[in-house]
Amino acid sequence: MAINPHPSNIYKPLKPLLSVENIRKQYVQQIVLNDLDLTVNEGEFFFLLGPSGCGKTTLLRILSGLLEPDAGRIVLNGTDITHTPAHLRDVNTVFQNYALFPHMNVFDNVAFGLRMKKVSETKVRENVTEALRLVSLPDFSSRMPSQMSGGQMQRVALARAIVNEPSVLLLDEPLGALDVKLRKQMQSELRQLQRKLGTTFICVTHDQDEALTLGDRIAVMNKGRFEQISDAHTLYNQPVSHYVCDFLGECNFLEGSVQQATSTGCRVSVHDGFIEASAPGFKEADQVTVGIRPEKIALNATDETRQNQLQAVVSERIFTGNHYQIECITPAGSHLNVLFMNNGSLELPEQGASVQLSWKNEDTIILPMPDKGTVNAS
Amino acid sequence: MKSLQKYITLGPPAIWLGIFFVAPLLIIFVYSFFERGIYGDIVYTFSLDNYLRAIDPLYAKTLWRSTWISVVSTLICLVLGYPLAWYIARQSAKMKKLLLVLLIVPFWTNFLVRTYAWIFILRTEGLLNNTLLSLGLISSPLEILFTQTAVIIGLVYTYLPFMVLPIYVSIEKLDRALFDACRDLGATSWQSFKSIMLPLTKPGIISGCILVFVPCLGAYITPDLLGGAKSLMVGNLIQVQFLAARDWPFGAALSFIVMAIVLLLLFAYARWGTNNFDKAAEAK
Repeated sequence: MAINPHPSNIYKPLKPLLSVENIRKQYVQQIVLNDLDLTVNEGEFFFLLGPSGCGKTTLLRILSGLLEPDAGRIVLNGTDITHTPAHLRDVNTVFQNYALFPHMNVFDNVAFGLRMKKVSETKVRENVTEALRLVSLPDFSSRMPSQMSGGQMQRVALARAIVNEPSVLLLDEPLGALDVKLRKQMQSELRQLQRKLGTTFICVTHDQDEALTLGDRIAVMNKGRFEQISDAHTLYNQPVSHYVCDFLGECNFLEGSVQQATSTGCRVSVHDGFIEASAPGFKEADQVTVGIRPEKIALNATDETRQNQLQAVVSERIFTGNHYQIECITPAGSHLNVLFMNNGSLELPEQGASVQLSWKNEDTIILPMPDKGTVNAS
Repeated sequence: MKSLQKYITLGPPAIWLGIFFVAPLLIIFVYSFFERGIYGDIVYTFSLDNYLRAIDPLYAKTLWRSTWISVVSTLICLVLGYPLAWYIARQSAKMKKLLLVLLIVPFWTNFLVRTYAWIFILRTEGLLNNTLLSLGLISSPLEILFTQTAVIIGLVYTYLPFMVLPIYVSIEKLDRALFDACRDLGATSWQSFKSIMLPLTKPGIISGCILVFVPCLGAYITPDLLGGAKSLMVGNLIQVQFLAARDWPFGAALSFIVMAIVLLLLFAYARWGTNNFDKAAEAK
């Protein structure tokens, strides 16, 4: 398990660039952002992940200066920029629907920021050409936005922002309007561009796949709070709340209470018996939810290291191309999904067949009961 | 068979246009080359005298004055209408509806009555002067009624909605994100107005200007009631020719000159008024 989740940071010591302190935003009755704290490091590809209405776009607008927080402080490069208006901030945004100026061609769109800064026209020409080259649109200078596809407009929007060489680049659902194939391609281009520039990217998305794929670190947001801020591996394997566990990927949930707790793990009593986990930090009689990821469960394995075992009956088999999803029911009535790859390594059980489900202690996720979710801003 | 169908479908509108639009214009056009008889009848001999008479300083001055009053009224409508349109476009959906209805409400009242109301406001002992006098802002009443100023006030009042509506539509259509992008890229409010808002609302501005300028140029009730002898407009002149002087050929010629001015402006709009990006979209 010694995979470094963010290779771009192997040689660089982390250096805080942007910090958000106690940011609060409230509309009449509703608290949109509830005293948020966050530090983003230099050169990091950071994600704000959450469903619509969780406050992620509000936070992004506050960072860009288009919205003022009701309380709190934003510090960029050691300077308090909380009350610096948008047009004076060293921050640029790639907007959700690109917001390209429809009456200007690609060149003028990209040159806009530099011209506002009164950069000399020779320098403008040089930098715009370079920016368009970076987004692989070198020959598009004279095109109008209405003559381009969504993917091309996306690249122009990127070029228009990066040409200003901001300290932080904000991206609001940058790939949301693209179709699946194009989105995959743009994902890898975005990653390469970010590595090449070394600029800090802060990206808002509701797409967990995008965040897991691209993010050095991800902040999962829920109702104006950060549920967990961590790298993709930790978020997926060690979620701190039911919400995070459920939002990222799929998971089987069983409710129970801690029967025995030690310094290295615990034993939880559920309807189906006992489940062991190597998760510390719980005490006896705690009401908890046990989470087991479908792909961590093995069918009829003889492996001795899989300490947790449950008998179940196959109720449904679903084929989805690259993998099978097997739905099982335990004698106690719990539903468990099992996922395995379509690689011929396992014989597919018949519907109604009795199977043994097993998984390792360290793959058991123990979560406090929902609605008592702890906030962990590590 | 195909062509027969075409004639059947195109027929009724063509006849309608022919009777109510082309024929009257044609009659006026033909009349403008005839002469007035001694008793106000029409003498059917071809002559260009009517058009030559229109360039006579006596009448040319009226034409020039009409154009000038119309230009000034249009500009005032633009200066007042643009911020108003912007203000309405920024309101909530409910408020927008209310404000737009309020903008249209004056049209529910008779135009003549509304113009008479302005006489009561502007006359020497009228509402405006009494208010200003009692506030001590002026020491003697302003003589506004029966001047060019009164005509301009009347025209601006009447045609302001025609300026506001098309501009409102073009502002309403604008994507708010464009202004966010503009500020994000370092533009001040003035710079984003100049480089984004103004060029993108140009079609609305031009439509509004045409909608205001054209009826201003042909106005005759407003100058008749609010203006004096020195603010006679070409509309009055045409009215006098047709009704009082019974010189239909000359009236027809003046009408055609006014129409020519309007057509020239429309042509200029078609030629230069549309945005580049509209053309690009059309080319696509």
